[in-house]
Parts: sequence; C-alpha cells; structure tokens
Amino acid sequence: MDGWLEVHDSTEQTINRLLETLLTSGVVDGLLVPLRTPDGRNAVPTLVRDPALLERAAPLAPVLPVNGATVLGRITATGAPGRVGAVLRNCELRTAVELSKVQQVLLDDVLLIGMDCLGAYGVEDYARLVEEGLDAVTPALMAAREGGVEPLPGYAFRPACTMCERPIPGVGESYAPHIAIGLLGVPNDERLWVSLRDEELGEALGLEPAEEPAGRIEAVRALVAARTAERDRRFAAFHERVHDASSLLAEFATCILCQNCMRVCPICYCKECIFRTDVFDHPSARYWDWAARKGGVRLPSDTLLFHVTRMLHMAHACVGCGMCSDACPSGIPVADIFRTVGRAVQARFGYVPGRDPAEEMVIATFREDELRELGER
Amino acid sequence: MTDFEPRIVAFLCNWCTYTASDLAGTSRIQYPPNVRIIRLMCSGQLDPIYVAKAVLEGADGVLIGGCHPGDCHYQSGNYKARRRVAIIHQVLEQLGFDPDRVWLRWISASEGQYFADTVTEMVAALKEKGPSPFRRQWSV
Amino acid sequence: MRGVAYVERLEAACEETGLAAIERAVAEGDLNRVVVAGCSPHLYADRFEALMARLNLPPRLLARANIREGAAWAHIADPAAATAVARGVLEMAVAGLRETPYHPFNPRPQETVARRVLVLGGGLAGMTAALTLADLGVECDLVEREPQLGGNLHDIHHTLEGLDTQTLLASLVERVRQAERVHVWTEAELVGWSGVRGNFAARIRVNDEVRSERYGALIVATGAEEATTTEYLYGQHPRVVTQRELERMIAGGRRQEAGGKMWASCFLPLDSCRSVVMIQCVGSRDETRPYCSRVCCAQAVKNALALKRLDPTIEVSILFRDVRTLGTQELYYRQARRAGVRFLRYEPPAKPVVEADGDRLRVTVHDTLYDETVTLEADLLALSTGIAPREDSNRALAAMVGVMLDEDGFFAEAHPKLRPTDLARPGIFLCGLAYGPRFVTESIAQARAAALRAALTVTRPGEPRRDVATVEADLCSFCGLCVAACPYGARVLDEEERVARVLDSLCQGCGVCVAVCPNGASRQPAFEPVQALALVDAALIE
Ligand code: SF4
Ligand code: SF4
Ligand code: SF4
Ligand code: SF4
Ligand code: SF4
Repeated sequence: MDGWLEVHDSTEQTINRLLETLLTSGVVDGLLVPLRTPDGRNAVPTLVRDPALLERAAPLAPVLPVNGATVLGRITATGAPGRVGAVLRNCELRTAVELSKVQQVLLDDVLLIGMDCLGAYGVEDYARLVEEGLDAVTPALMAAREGGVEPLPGYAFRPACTMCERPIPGVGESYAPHIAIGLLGVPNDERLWVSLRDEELGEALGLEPAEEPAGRIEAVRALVAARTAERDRRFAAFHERVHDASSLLAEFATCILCQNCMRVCPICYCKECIFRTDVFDHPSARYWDWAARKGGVRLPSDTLLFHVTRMLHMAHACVGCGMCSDACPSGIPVADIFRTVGRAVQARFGYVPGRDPAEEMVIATFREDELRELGER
Repeated sequence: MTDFEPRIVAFLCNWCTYTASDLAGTSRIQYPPNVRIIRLMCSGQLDPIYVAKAVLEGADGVLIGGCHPGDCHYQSGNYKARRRVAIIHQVLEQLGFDPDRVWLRWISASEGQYFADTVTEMVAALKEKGPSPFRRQWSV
Repeated sequence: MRGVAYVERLEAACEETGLAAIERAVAEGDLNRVVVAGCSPHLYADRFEALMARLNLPPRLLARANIREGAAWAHIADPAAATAVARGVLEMAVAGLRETPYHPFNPRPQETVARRVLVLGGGLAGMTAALTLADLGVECDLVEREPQLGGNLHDIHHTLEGLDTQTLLASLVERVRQAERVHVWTEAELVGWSGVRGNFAARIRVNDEVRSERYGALIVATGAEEATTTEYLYGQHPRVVTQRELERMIAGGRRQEAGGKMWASCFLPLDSCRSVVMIQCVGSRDETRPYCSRVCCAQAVKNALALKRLDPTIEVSILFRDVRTLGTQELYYRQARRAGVRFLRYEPPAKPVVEADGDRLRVTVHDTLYDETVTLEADLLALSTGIAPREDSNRALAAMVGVMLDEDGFFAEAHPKLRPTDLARPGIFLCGLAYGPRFVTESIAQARAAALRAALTVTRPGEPRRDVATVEADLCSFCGLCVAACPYGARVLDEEERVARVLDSLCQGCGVCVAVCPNGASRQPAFEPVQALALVDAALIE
C-alpha cells in the first residue's frame, strides 16, 4: 500500500512520531534507530525500548558510524525476545538481507524500516560539521524536494555513497522493507511518500492512499542515473590504476595490514578471520624459507593474499556499504576495489546482493547446467 | 623466453585426475616435468585460498583436475569447484592478472593420456605467456 | 631438507622388511614423522596405516612422496628431469609434514557395525554371494527386481566346459530359499542409500511398502543383459536370431520376445536348419560399444559344438574378427575346427552382408585369411550381440550409492589389480555381469570373493573414522554454508550452541565443507589448511 503521510512540525519529528507509534502501539517491542550521542557529534544505532528516548532519534542524520545490519545481527541472531523495528539505510538493508542468508541476522522478527538515503558523511566529517554548528539535515531535505542530493559546501559524502546506485528502498533491485519512507522528489516538509508491505499498518499510521507522483519517479530515476555514472567512473578509474601485478602492488603499497577493512566489513561475518587464526601463525623458519626463495619477504607477510582471499570469500556479496574505505587508516579506496571486483563476480552469476533473502548466495549453491565452458579443453 | 620453464601447481582429485596422473606414470606416458601435484580428495575440496596463495607466491600456472560433470565421486563436488574457479577467474581478471593461468580440466581416472596432453598443452601455453608477474616477488 | 633427521634407503618400504626398518628407525631415533618416497599413495595405504598404529603415531604424520608413478615413470626418458621432480615431490611431502600439527587427533570410534549385508540382484552372482555369506554366518537380504530369482541364468543352458547351468540354477534357487540367513525380496528395489561402511541406511521398496534397514555392507550384483541390434536383418527376418536365442532353441525352447516384437509364433524347428552362419562382434568393439564382450566367442563355439553334436552334418560357419577364447577354452576352439566348423575372418569396415533369400538367407563376406569373397547360404543366422550394461538403472544406482561407472556403463572397480571386487566407496562390493561381461565360472568366483570381503567388513569391529570432517567450535560462526554444501546431509546446525556439527556416520570425508567455510572452522584432520599452504610453498621451490 502506497500513500502520503502528513508532516506536522518537522520531517524528522514526523518520522520519529511514526516510530513512537510503532513502539507504543506494540507493533514492535523495540526499535533499532540512530540516536544522537549526548554531545550530538555522532548518531549511533541504539536499541530503544523506552519511547521517551526517541526524542534523540536521528533517523536522517547523515552519518554511518557502523553498519546497522551488523548490530541488527547482535540483537536478533540468537533469538530476539521480541519484535524489533530496524531503521536502516538502504546499504544496511542490503547487508541485512545478505546476513540473513548466513544466519547472522534473523529477519523473522524484524520490521524493516527504510528511507531514501540522501548520502552520509564520514564520522569525522560529521562530528566536525556539528562542531561548526552546521545543520546537515534541513538543506539536504530542501534539495531532495527538488530532486537533488548535494553535500554541504566544503564537505563531501563518503565515496561509497557517491557511487551507491541503490539508495531508494524497494526501488529497482532493492529489497522492499515493511515501511519505506520517501523523501526525494516530494514536498517532504508537507508530506512524506510511504510504501508499506501490508495494508493494516497503513490504517494504524493514518496513511492516505495515492498514486506515486511523477515528480518523484523522475527524481529517483535521475539520482540512480547519476550514481550509476559515478560508480562506473570509479570502476573505470580503478581499472586504469590497476591493470597488472605492479600496479596492483602499488594499490596496496600503503596497506599496513591492520585488517580494519575486514573487521568493519559486515559481509566478513566470521567470528575470527582465517588470517587471525593458527593457519597464519607461521613458525619463524617459514619466513626465512620465503626470504630464501624470493630474496626477501615483506612483513607482515601475506598482505595481498589477505585482500585477494577476502575478495574470494565475500566480493560476491559486497553490498557497497563503504565501511572498509571509511576504516582504512591509509586512505586506500578499499570499497572501490571490492565493488569493482564484486560487481564482476556478481554479474557472472546474475547475483544481486541484498535483492532478496530467498536468493541463494553464489558460493552456497551451483547449477549443473552452468559454466559449461569451464573444465573442457 | 626460450629457457623459461613454467612451474605449475596442480590440485588433483584423488579419484580421477590424480589416478589419471598415476596411470600416465604406469603407462610411461611422458609429459613435461613442470608440474607439482597436490592431491585433494575431491575437486570440491579446493579452498580458493590455495589458488590465491599459489598465484601470489609466483606459480606460473595452476591446474585443477576433477571428475567429468556427472561423475563426481562425491556427487557434486566438481560443480562446486567449477563455480569457485569461475569466481577465481573473475577476481584475478579484475585485478589485472591473466585468468588463463588457472586451468580447470575434467580428467577421468582412465584418461592418463589426456592428463599428459593437458600438462604438455599448459606448459606450452605458459611458455607463450612468460613467467608469472609474481615470480620471486617479495612485496606481495 | 629442514626437519629431516634420518634417511634410509629401502628395497621395498611396503614389505615386511621395509616396514620393520621404518619401525626400527622411528623407535631408535625417537622420530615422530615419516615420509615414504616411493610408489603412489593409492597403493598399500592400509599397510602404512597399520605401521603408524604400531608406532602409536597419528596416521596423518606419515606422508607418501609419489616419486615412482609421479616422477621416475612419468619422466623415464629424461633421468635428470625425473630426479628433479622426485626431489620436488619429496620437498613437498617433508614441508607438508613439517606443518602438520603433532597433537594426536583422537578419532571418534564408529558406532557398532551392522552385521547384515544387502545383496542387490538375484541372479547367479547375487545368489552365490548370498549363499556364501550365509555359510560364513552373516545375515543378508537378497533383493531382486523381477518376480523370480535367476536373472540371466535362465537363458544359459550349459557352459562351454559342459556344466549344466539349468541344474545349477534350480539348485541355487532351492538353496537360497532354504537358507535361514538369506532373506529374499522379489519385485523389490533399493530406493534410498546413505551412510558409511559398517553403517549404511537403506530404504527398499517391496510392492508398495518401503522398508528401512541398516547394513554393514552392500554387494552389487545387478547383472547386465544381452545387447540387442538392428543390424543384419535382426528383427526383420524370422531366421535371424541372437546367440542366446539359438541356445534356447538348441535347448528345445522357442524364440521369445526380441527387439520389442513377439516372435513367439515363429517356432523354428532346428531340424530344418542345414546350414547355420554365426556373426561375431555384432555392434561390439565399434564406436558405440568399444569393449569386447569376452563371452561371445566361447558362446559361439559352445553353440556350434552343440549343433554339431545334435547333427554332425549341419554346416556351421563362424564369421569372426578375432577369436578370443580365453585360456583352456582354446581347446574347444580346436575341437570345433576338428568337428568341421568353418571360421572366416572379416575386418571392418568390410562387414558381412546379409540378404533375405525368400525363407532363407544369403551371407556374403570377404574372408581376409584367404583374401576371397565367400557367399554362404544359411537357414539360420545367429548374431553374437554381446553383453550390454543396464545403463540407465546402473547410472541411477551408482548415483544413489555414490560409486562410479566405467566409460562402457558397467560399474568401475576401485582398483583392477588390487581390489577387483571393491567399488570405490568402502563397504560396497561388486560381482557378476554388473562389472562387465564374464563367464559363469568367473561370476561364481567373483561372487564368493565379494561375499568374503563383505563378511569381513561386517564382522570386524568398527574402525575409528579418520576421514570425517570436524568443526573448530571457537571459529564457527554458524553460517550454514557447510550444511548447504555437504552432499550427504552429514552437517547440521546446532541451534543451541550455534555451531555446525558433523554426523560422523554420514560423512564421507570429501572436504567440500572445508573448502566452503571461509575461515577454516571446518577442518579435515588429515589435510589441515596449514599443510595445504605449506605444500603450495614447497611446490614452488625451484
Ligand atoms: S567490502 Fe567494503 S563495501 Fe563491500 S560490503 Fe564490505 S565493507 Fe561494505
Ligand atoms: S576474509 Fe574471509 S575469513 Fe576473513 S573475515 Fe572475511 S570472509 Fe571471513
Ligand atoms: S584497512 Fe587499509 S591498511 Fe588496514 S588492512 Fe585494510 S586496506 Fe590495509
Ligand atoms: S561454514 Fe564454517 S563457519 Fe559456517 S557453519 Fe560451517 S563450519 Fe561454521
Ligand atoms: S561435506 Fe564435509 S561433512 Fe559432508 S561428507 Fe564431505 S567432508 Fe563430510
């Protein structure tokens, strides 16, 4: 069911009131939603049970300190005692879909709430703009009314956001959440465009049924086109930079093998990465063997093996959330790399991460009648 | 490149291609001495990290041998291996590494000659390509 | 080579003296890992396993460096290359062992072995196997698809050597029916199979009911059939028959159904046959069926002699490619020649040409022995069509129990010389025509051997399983990828502890679960990831 939700006060307050309704009416028993930290310099996913706390809810704050699906896993995977409403950006929603396929998130008792993602800043940038007394939300909503998505002057969105071609929940190859809140191409200071999975909720929320306005459809199309172009530009730039062994080594030359990219990557769901297990706990003599064979060995060893293995393990399901790039202390565009590689793997199997929880992961299945050219002379 | 001798790391299924390599030996079918064999129980046992390791440590080629489609000793291991090889190819290609250095071949236990031919063919192809760019690379 | 403490050259490591020498060296040197550089690891695995057990060392601490099949023989023409490869192979074996963790892996003991054997197929081989098992004191179920026991034996009336097979059949059926330990299920079929040696679970459909039963071993004796043909007017001319049909006629029978048509009305009294021509290798040893059916030549000689015995004046001509009577059967070939049977040799592509001549037949053949074209008038043409596998049902059964067929469609044995009655999966044995064309006497001998192997399997105490996969609980993230990947349903997710678990009795040790697990939580004790990575490193030593 699609329709309009009247805005009273501000857009953000309207959304917060909607969340409050869900919680107080018992539709959900808890809410996973970003709350402004007491100092206001960050907005962090919080499991909220007391409706009073929703006063600090910041569903529109353009910052992404952690991937919300990872924490959604924490509060659902081993069985949630109640139903949780999860407010997620679209990349987080994709992540939740992927993680549900590997039992890291349990979607059974989750009410998914998505909204048009108007881009996010890095945590440092966001804190800085708050310190400078800037309001990041109002100008973004204003621009969105006209169909535009622009960062504040002097600031830039996270690179992953600039190349995210699936920012709108339920649109294109995005999984439709239970509640999708539209901000783009609609008068979002007067009313919000809401899509619901089931009718009943519409009545509870006081939704006024309507046809999707043409202006919104056009704005979404234009945004997706612009993002796709930026994505392809970044793919091409990567290929321009990296095309052989030495340029690949150069790409990772500044890597300090801190493994942050793996730790923050939601798709690297392993309890402990293989690179942190006994498998890579080499006896000293092994290093000497390598040094003897190759003349020398870079230490810590296996930098490139770490990255390539990570690609082999998870690039097929990379959702493009960009957490890895955010976390890299050396400024390596990890997400650009993983998205480029991931895209090729996904395309080979027609797999779209985050599209549908029922879609089997590339490595979880096979077909007898595929890839016939492989293995033959 | 005339004196370049490629080094191939081969991961062979115990039931088919490894047996074929044995058969090549027993039948005295000669093939170039460029291959080093690692025996797996099934091509489906091939962890992609082994291939990544071989490539980055400078193997000029990697050969993966499994049972023909439909003949897997463990029902479907070869189909799973095939998917994995496809993923490996994609990843390597995107990183600017020639995926054609990683070969997958279905070679049954009785195909000793085919095993030998495959090694011969692969050695020739790799000689064309020249040494792996990761050969003796210390900074991987 | 780093880590190598002791080297000894042995004449034959696999033999008593060699094994004793290894035992002595390990004990004296307080060594804990052994590399045997020699033949393929496919040979004598059990001997080395027993050796390690005697040494009280985990079997995974012995590595085989295959420097014979893999080096010496493969590069026999280039000794320098062979030596280099052997050296490399040895380096790898040592490197792999060096990284293999010492901590003894304590295999979990297997559940008690089911002391019951399933025999599939109630023909000559199946019945012989079942009776042998019963004699050895082992219970067995004999499952036959048809309503009656006997299979192909119904169509064989005597052997070349003169054994009366019909009497044999009758007495076998009788003994099987009498045997207390043999339980016969006719019109029954195997519909489900899982588990491992000593502990298989089977589902068998009898009539409309499905029975479940545990078995320690399986004997496949599902037989084969006489091949049919469309060549040489077979199915078109009433006087063209197969050797088997001829045998039935000689035995006083009638022709039955052939080529899908009822020929029962066509009663052909043998006494109207003054001249009989036989063609060998019909539809055999060509592209579609490249193998030699082995029994046809003897069958032809047998029928020719039988005809001559009935009436020495009957003219019998055998058109052959090569006469392959094996061993002492050669005597009968000579006997046939003495009795006046004519042998003419043809060579494809110049095959004999058969034309209908009214009620009779005309056969033209180019005899390559005398290099002349001969035309024979025949009252009867008998075709040696050979033996064909029951391909579809073989394939279905092979897939169900997890074994392989050879390229001809028969079941493929694990090793033709060393384990001729074993199929590739432990606990599954093979005999009779399902294995390929063979003579009655061969089927009997093989059935007894298979029964003995099966009996040993089910009477030995359960061996500890060393090949089963394991899960490092600390590392397992409960993702379920291994569960999806395991082809045997041997993996389950333990919701309580949030780890994957292995059902030992279903695990076949394929390692697919290991490859799919991203962080090595899924393991195989005999092939740890550290070992694999060390092997790769060693493989690159120049
Ligand atoms: S690789 Fe980077 S962009 Fe891709 S899912 Fe992981 S953190 Fe997100
Ligand atoms: S790189 Fe692989 S092993 Fe490491 S955390 Fe990611 S998926 Fe797991
Ligand atoms: S976060 Fe950056 S520096 Fe750290 S391991 Fe990843 S790529 Fe290397
Ligand atoms: S694949 Fe590995 S991590 Fe996943 S459930 Fe299986 S053992 Fe555990
Ligand atoms: S996939 Fe793992 S658990 Fe299943 S049979 Fe193979 S080795 Fe055993």
